[in-house]
Amino acid sequence: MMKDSEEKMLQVYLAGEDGVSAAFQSVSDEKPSAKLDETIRQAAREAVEGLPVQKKRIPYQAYSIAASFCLAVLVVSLFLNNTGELTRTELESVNSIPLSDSPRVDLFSADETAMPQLNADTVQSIEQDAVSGLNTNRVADPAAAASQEAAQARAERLESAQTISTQDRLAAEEAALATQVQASAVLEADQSMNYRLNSDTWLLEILRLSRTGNTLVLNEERRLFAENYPAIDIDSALAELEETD
Amino acid sequence: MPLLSFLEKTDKDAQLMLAYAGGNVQAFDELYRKHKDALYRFFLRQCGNQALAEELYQEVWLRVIKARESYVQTAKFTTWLYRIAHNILFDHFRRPLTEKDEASEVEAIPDNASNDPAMLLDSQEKIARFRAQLSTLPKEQLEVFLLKEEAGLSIADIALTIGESKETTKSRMRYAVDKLKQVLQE
Repeated sequence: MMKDSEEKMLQVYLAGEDGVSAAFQSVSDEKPSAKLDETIRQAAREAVEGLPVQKKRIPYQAYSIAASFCLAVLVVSLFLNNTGELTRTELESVNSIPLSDSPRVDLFSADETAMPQLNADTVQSIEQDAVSGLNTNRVADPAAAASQEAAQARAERLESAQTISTQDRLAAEEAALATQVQASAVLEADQSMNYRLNSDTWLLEILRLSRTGNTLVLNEERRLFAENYPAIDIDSALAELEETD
Repeated sequence: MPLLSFLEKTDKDAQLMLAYAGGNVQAFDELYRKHKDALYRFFLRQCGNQALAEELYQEVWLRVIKARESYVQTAKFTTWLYRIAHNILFDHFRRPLTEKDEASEVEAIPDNASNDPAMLLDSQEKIARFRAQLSTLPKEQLEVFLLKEEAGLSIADIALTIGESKETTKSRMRYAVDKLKQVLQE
């Protein structure tokens, strides 16, 4: 019942029949200032007019693209230069490996480069012989038989030359592989000698060798150490190391 | 989708907003002229002082301007506008009061009604009491009442604007109207 009356009261108000709306409207005539109106309208105009302004920024974008391109070219050229230096360094390190210990292989020797030309000449000659042989076979005279034998001999020579060429190539590849293996072995050996870079690590290595009982190597290391560090008494230094160990 | 197309065709304000989003400044001017006074009073009644009301009022319009490109019509424009106003007001009241705010709370709302010849015919005392009653309404009730009176929203739209149920909205409205009615009946 109460709820119904409240609902009715609300409906009367919403219909504007109770005077509340009228009373409120009579006291509601405040307005924002003209200055505030102008500020907001100006902001609305600037927001819309701001679109072409953004388009004017396009030249700067072009400059930035050009600058980015220049930077990219610079970076790429620097990278390529560094790569070239690295390659040179690697080549120098490979060249520093004593070649007397490794099998000498010249992958780009004159014989190797001449081989394809030789083979091509031989093939052409044999093919010409074969064609002429076919033509002359129809005649079937002794001269033709002799020519056929010569062509067969040349074909055998070609087969032999090709076999030799393949064998040489395989040998060259094996030799190159051996060189690489040897180079890596030398590099590993160099790295394993890093303990000789200073006296402390060298002494530690000598101590390790003395514990393992590798006398031959131990004596050699002791001798080399004494040569490089004559002022250090190896035994006392080793004794100190053992104490601290 | 049929509801949206219906809204697009019937809500002129939404069409104006879309036109403004397309770069038509005159559309904004028309929209602004239509809503400015009611929206200003919506803040003035709830903030209690002119400076703060102007600040929050300006904030609403700046948000409308900023949102023009992303504006999508999902409800009546008025509902959308007052939803922004509600959020700004809510954020303001949630914010802890600074010394400046406290000082400005004391300022009185300018009594423009005294310049209204129609109001001079009525009892000045009654007008003052009606204003006083308005200012004593709880904020939730006052907001609901103002959304009806100033923005002209229906109960359903008010509920949508303030994010409450229709029943809660009705209840707040009943309380507000009842208190204001008491002044008129005295």
